[in-house]
Amino acid sequence: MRLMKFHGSYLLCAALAVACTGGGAFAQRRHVAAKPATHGAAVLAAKAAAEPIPDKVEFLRDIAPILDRGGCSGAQCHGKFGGRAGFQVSLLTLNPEDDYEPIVFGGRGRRLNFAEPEKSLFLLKATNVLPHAGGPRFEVGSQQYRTVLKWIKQGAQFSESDPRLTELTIVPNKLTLTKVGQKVPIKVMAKYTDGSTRDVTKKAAFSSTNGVSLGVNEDGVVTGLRWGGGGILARYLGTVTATFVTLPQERKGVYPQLGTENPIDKVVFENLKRLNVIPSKRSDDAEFLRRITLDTLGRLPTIDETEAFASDKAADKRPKLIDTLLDKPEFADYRTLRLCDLLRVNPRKLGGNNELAERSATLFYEWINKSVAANKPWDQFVREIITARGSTYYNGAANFYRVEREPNDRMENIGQAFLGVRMMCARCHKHPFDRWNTDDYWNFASFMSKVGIGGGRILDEQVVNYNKYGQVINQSVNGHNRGKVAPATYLGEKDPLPADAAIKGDLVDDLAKWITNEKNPFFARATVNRLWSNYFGKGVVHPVDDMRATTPESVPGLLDVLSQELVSHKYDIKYLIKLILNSQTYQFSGVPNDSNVKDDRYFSHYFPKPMPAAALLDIVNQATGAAENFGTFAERTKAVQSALPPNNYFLSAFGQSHREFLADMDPKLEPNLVQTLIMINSPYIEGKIRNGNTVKAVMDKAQTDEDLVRGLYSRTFCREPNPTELAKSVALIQGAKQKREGAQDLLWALVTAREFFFNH
Amino acid sequence: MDYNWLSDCEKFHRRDVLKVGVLSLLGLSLSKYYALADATAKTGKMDQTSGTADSVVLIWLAGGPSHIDTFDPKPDAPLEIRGNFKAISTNGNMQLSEHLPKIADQADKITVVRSVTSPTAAHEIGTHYMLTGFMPLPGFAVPSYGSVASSLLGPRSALPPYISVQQPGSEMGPGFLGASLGPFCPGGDPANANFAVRDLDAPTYMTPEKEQRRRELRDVVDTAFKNYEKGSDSARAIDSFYNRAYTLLSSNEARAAFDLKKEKEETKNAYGRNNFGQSLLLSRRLVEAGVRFSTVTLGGWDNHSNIFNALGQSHLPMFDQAMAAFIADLEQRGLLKRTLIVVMGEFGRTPIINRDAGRDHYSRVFSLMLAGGGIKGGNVVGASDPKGMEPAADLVRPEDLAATIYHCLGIDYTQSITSPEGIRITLARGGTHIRKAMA
Repeated sequence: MRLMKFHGSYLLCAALAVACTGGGAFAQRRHVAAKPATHGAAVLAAKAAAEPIPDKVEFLRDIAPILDRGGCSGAQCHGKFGGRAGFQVSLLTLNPEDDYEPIVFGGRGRRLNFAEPEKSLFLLKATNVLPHAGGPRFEVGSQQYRTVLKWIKQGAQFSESDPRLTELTIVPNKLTLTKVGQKVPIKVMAKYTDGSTRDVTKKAAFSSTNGVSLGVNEDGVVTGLRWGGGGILARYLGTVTATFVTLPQERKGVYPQLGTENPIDKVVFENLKRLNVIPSKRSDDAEFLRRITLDTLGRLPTIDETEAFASDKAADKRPKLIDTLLDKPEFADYRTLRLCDLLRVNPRKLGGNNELAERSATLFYEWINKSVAANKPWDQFVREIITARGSTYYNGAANFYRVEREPNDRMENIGQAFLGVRMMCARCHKHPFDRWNTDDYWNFASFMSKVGIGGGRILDEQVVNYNKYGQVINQSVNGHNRGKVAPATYLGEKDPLPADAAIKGDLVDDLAKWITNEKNPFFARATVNRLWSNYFGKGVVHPVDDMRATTPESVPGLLDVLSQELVSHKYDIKYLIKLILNSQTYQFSGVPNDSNVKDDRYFSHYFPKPMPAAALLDIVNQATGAAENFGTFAERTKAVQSALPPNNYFLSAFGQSHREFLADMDPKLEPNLVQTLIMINSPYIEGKIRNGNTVKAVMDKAQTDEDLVRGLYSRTFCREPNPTELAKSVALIQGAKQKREGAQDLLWALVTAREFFFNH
Repeated sequence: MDYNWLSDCEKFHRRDVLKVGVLSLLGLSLSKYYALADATAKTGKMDQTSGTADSVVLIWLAGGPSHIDTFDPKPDAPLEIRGNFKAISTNGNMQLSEHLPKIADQADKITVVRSVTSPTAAHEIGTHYMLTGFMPLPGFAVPSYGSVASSLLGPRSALPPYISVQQPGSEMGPGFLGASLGPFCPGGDPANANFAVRDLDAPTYMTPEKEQRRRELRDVVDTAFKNYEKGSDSARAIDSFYNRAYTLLSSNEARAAFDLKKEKEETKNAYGRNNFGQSLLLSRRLVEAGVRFSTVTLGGWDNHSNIFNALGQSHLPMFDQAMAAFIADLEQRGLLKRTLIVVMGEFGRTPIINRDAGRDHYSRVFSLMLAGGGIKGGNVVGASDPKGMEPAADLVRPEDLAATIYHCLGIDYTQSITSPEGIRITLARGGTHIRKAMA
């Protein structure tokens, strides 16, 4: 779904708050806890059993969890931006350090009463002794009450030397269940700076990354629901951690020996064996040829190609075919289409009036297309984009900086496109499900403030330059660095770059080097994950632009293997694609067996996938022999070759990326009713069937009706019909008054069938 | 091109009833069916006041209509607030703008809510908030009311359950529920004499024999794919769409719902011969034919300048005529009780008139209108203060509106739905239905 163009205003931040009330796998329990304040709330059913109240009550360890668990910091309540009734704490207590001040000093110190601690507003409100819009959160005399009271009596202290959380872990950190229905409790352990460890299981919130296979309840008890694997995540205040759980399929018979030399297959097979899932058999030649031609060129194999491949008896005909396909210009064109989606090469984004914007988009397209055709190493490709300087008319890559204008929007764009990281949440508050906080967000965005862009000498020309004085202000909602200039800091690193780095050197160059450095923790993994998803329809971590630290790979170790291969081959994209396409995993049949029919993420069979809209339209034209021109493009330009997304009803109905928002980097290929109506009942498709030259060409060549059926099958499904299909089709065709009509009807049936629609 | 289209589908031979399973008649994929079964278990009438709606027609006044110049007139306020329009009495317990005289005659069937409030006076965010009950969430697409209702209640007929007469914005979309629950948009202008839905009419060359042959051929060529289908949700989804499309194409009644030629001239005239009027007429036909949720969009409310000319001369009279005709028509056909009508925009407009004789965005308090589907008639809920600046009673937030819509449909709005990524949202998070609006 596309939504969200956010333009920096604070209104959005209120938006973000919602994510965390309504949203969030973690929020489940909170919903119960934080009933709407305005409509009266039940007293919290505290799940924490009585724990001894420590001798010295500490703010971070003892008080902050009460705010979180009590629902006080929910987005409906005091965690809402702007707070409630003048009292604001960090959303979901994600930043407990920030909550001390509002409690102790906020409201001019009226919330705590050190003379008569029992009369502290904080306690009177929380217990609803003084009417509290949020109702009672705990009762007088309860564990929470006594903890807070003791803390106030001890002077409500929070010192710099209080122990802080250093590490949150789940015990065990790996878990294998043995059968469905099995329940295993896990523990969440917190380590602190003073070396102490506490069990915070009861204060943590849990969720599962694979709800089909693994359930987890609010006490941290994991239940096996179906074979599979996934992560169980635990959040304790602002920290999230995960444990990986596997539940193998029940054993039936002997697991087959799966041999392989391909490093991809090794990890995939290992995982399948662990799950006791038997992969599908190898695809047959026809299935394989259609699949790989669609995947690499965005079209069907021609009749000649089909015949040549079928008659080739060489043992290495598949690797040879792969080499041939990847050397074709069509391969570069098709991959360019994907990259144009990724980089959102969209005239509307590129500004100016229509014609000029199209020119910018075309220049950007051409730069990408040339780079792909030359198989430019991916690190170099990305470096050239990030460090692009000069006129957008002379350096196509510089148009990248016209797509987004604000430093933080550019940073989000880079994060999502090249690093597989979604930073958006951290714009306003700590990301509830990932490690990023607002400083990470704004400090990383700071690099992009050094990119200047301004008008050139020619109409609509823009010139990108290095602006060493550029800066960005931390605009988080209540982070303690809000309003300050954000110091440039690499994502995930603690220390900012020296203050004079921007003046002495070139921070944008530095950023490009940091991103593409082989030690960068995100870059190679994000690259291979996206490539993998191009060919399998699904990332190893999915979605591909949201690779959180806590999201496990569906195949453990696969991204490491792929990224090592990529790095050791100097970011040679073609090499990696070849490695993938030559794997047995890619070449599995799309037909599942009893063992793997439920597999939707371990790659034990090929997952049939819809094609990008442009490729689908091209193959409809190819199969029907219809000619179609797109806008002002040269005749016979295919849809996948158009530099700009053509304005076409079919393409927009079939999910062509609008290249407008961040979410458009990967087109959403979801079927809908309009698509089906177009396919089965539109004059558009009917016209192609009738007026295209396929029926005539096949009829001219066919000696018999069987030949006719075979001819049409090979132009659509790219295979021979089986005997039943052949016999039934022939009989039905013969029912038509004219052979031509019968042939058209069969072509219609083939083109509207799922076997045609899917790459399988 | 050698084909023509007949515009009147009555001329066609009625096709055989399709031999499709119950599931595909419902137009559901298996996964949706299970989701539905699951949801139905959770759904149920909330309490005695639960609404009586089978269908919802949501009339979206894009741009943010001025509350003071429509449903919340302030005749006693100073001129710079009350503006040029007078207030008139109605047959309900309320006053309305003088430019809504026809709605005034139907006021015994409507509830006007005058204490709606939302924190945002930006179009995009306000629209999202009002049409989903949620502020926009980064990287996460919340489904609209229509998609949620379609998902939980399923279709009522061969027609798609959710139809957006005008091109829907993303705020009316299916969000994470996925494309199959998005609105179907018929395309085209219903006020156009040749209005017809794209790709819905059977083509002239189609004979029953040919139709039969094509379907049989398709069965033949699709059989082999059933081997693949088991392992693919989306392959099964396509199959469900195929069946749904056929159900739709082969149901003359369903297709006839889109055929405005079947309406008398006087009915068309009563609604007004314009896009809005005919869209409402189309919606009535769709409701009648069993559409679960339809939306009609009318723009032209973003009156930053010259508001009284813009609204008084044409916009309000057109709106008034169509709305009143729509309510009366539904009532007369006995459909009003089973159809919830929601009329609203993303916010109201500033009480104090600006120097361009316009009003600007204002969301602290504004109005919306409800009717049918278990809503009380002749009823006002809440109030704004005498200057139309602050809510004075019975605050209604977008979450409460969400709750009300779901409640009228008999959907438990405290239930949660979960996105494929595992993000869970409560339908009307924290909202409660507007009890004072219920009959």
